Amino acid sequence: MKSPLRTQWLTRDLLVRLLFPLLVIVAATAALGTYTAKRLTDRVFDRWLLDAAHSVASLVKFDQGQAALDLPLIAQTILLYDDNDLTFFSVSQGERLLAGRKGLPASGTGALTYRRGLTFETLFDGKPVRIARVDLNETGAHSVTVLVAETQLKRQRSTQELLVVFWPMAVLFFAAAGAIVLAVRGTVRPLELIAVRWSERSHTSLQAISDQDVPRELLPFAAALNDLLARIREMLARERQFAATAAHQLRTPLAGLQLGLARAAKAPDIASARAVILELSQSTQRTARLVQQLLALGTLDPEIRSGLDFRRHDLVALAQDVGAVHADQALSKAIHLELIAPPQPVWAFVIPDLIAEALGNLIDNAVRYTPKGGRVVVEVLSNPLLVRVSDSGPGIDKLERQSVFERFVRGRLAQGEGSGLGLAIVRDIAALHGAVVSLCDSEWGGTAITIAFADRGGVGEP
Amino acid sequence: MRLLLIEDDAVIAHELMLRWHAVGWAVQACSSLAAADAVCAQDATGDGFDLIVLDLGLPDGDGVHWLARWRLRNRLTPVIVLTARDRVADRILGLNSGADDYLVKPFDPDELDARIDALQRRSLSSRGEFLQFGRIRWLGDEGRAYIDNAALELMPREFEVLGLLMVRAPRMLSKRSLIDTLAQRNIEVGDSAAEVYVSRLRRKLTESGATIRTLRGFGYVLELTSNAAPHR
Repeated sequence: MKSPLRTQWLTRDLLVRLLFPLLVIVAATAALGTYTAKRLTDRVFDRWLLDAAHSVASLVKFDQGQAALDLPLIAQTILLYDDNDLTFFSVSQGERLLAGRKGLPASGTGALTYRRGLTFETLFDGKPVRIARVDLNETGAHSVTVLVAETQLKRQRSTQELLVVFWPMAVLFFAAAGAIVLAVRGTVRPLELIAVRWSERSHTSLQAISDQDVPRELLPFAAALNDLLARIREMLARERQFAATAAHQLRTPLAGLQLGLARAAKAPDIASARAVILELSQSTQRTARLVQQLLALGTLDPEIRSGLDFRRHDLVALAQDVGAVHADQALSKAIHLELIAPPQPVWAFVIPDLIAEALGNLIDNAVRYTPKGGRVVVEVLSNPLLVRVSDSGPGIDKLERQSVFERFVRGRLAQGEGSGLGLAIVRDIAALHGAVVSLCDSEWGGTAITIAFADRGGVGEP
Repeated sequence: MRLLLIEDDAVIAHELMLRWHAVGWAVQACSSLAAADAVCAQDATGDGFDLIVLDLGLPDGDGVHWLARWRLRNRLTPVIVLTARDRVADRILGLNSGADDYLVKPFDPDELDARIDALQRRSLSSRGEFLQFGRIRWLGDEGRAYIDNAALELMPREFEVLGLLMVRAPRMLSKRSLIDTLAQRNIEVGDSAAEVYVSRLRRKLTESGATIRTLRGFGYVLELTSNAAPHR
């Protein structure tokens, strides 16, 4: 759309496609016309020549095999009279010239055979001439050849006069070509203008373009462009908000770190400085976790999720893997971590990496907020197909149960750690799978979060 | 101990070298996979390093692929992977790619040293040396285990399982890696058989000051009784 080069090509293509056939048609018509005109004049003038040859032949008399010609002078004058062309004739029996010019050729090129004789072209006296030949045969005598030659001035004039008919055709051709060029330019010009207008607009603003003055055929393009602009606007807005929140969230632990460093610098002795530094190292871990979660949220952006692929995957094996990743964390708090799952695989059509991320977040949250010695249970069920993480932690207040799934919202009881992103990530991943996340009280008074998939799981062999 | 450190970040490499030189470990540092290949090529004996610490995001390639190639050559040298990739899926991939352990940046250097120690213990045990956890002693050469000086009556498979638990302690030995490791030693056991060995072993360890805790569905931990969390 933006490149004017494309429009130029369009013009050229249109012109070539319209003008080339026009040129071919005109050229073919002209060639055919010229041929027909030439042939017509040739035939007309050939007949006259043949008439003359026959009238001379009618005067030939045979006497015992000897031919004789009685051509009165007045008749010869009439025969040879012509305003424009030169006319010659000869009558001969074998090698014997009875009358007329000596040396008229008896054959030549471009011969045409008529019922009454034949005509051909040749050079005589250095001039191109057309000759009509009539042979007279008398039994018991040598045949008599009558030749009447004529220069071709009249013929050429006649042909040229006939060709005048084609001049209007040439004019018509140029007129049509001009009309085509103007029509194509006129049609493409608005396209160029619209392209320039759209391109100028999209450089300065992402607002939708107006479809006024847009030709009907271009409306789909305008709609597609507007659609794209709308999505870009939406993406940019989300990106900006995300960057702003992320910056704010990352600044908070950095501020804490700075305060801590200041305190450590002023510590009276190395032992108390060391205590501060130990505290601070936890803050770096927290920040790292926040970064990871921000990244996870980034990959869940609907604009880029098309690259992710769903696969059949065993949720039990997945839960075991994720649990193994979090086992150390649970052990260090003496938390009893267990998996309740069928002995066979539970197959589900999922994006395994994302389900691992979601489950990891749930287990991480559960372990983080459950007091020492507590309990975290991971369940995988095949019918209904769901994954659930329950804990014996403090639970989440009923009033907060909706809002904890929002980004950067943390439960009131969630002290210190936590970015407020974990459950938002879980919600987004579930939504991507068409699964539903729900939160309720666990058996032990803590929280139970369930990801319930829409389809039914397969159990056993894949 | 000889360590091969493959890490392209100069600050991290410098800090780790300082730390490990201080405890007397010999460290060879490489900043790219190509350099690591060159160092390993010189090392004709193959397993000349006791342990490899591998960063995944290196300038000339992905450490995971290097690790896969390394493992194909049957190198048994333990490998700890260090990486900035922190997605749960990345951690699972790291653990299943042939790495023996996995740490995410930023990490606590003490934690790294503890993991190195644990892997050292494991590689010693696979060479038939000995392990100690609390009052339990495990002697690979003899194929026997003791509580203080009293011999434990163990079936050969229970002995293997105890060794694996002691190597991992106090961290979890996942059921899957228990079964996989036994399979590598040509001991085929199913899910339920593994549970049977563990519960028999647990009974035999009642007087040992240590106990085997089950993280149901996930795996087992060998822990000292005094530290053990109260069971519900």
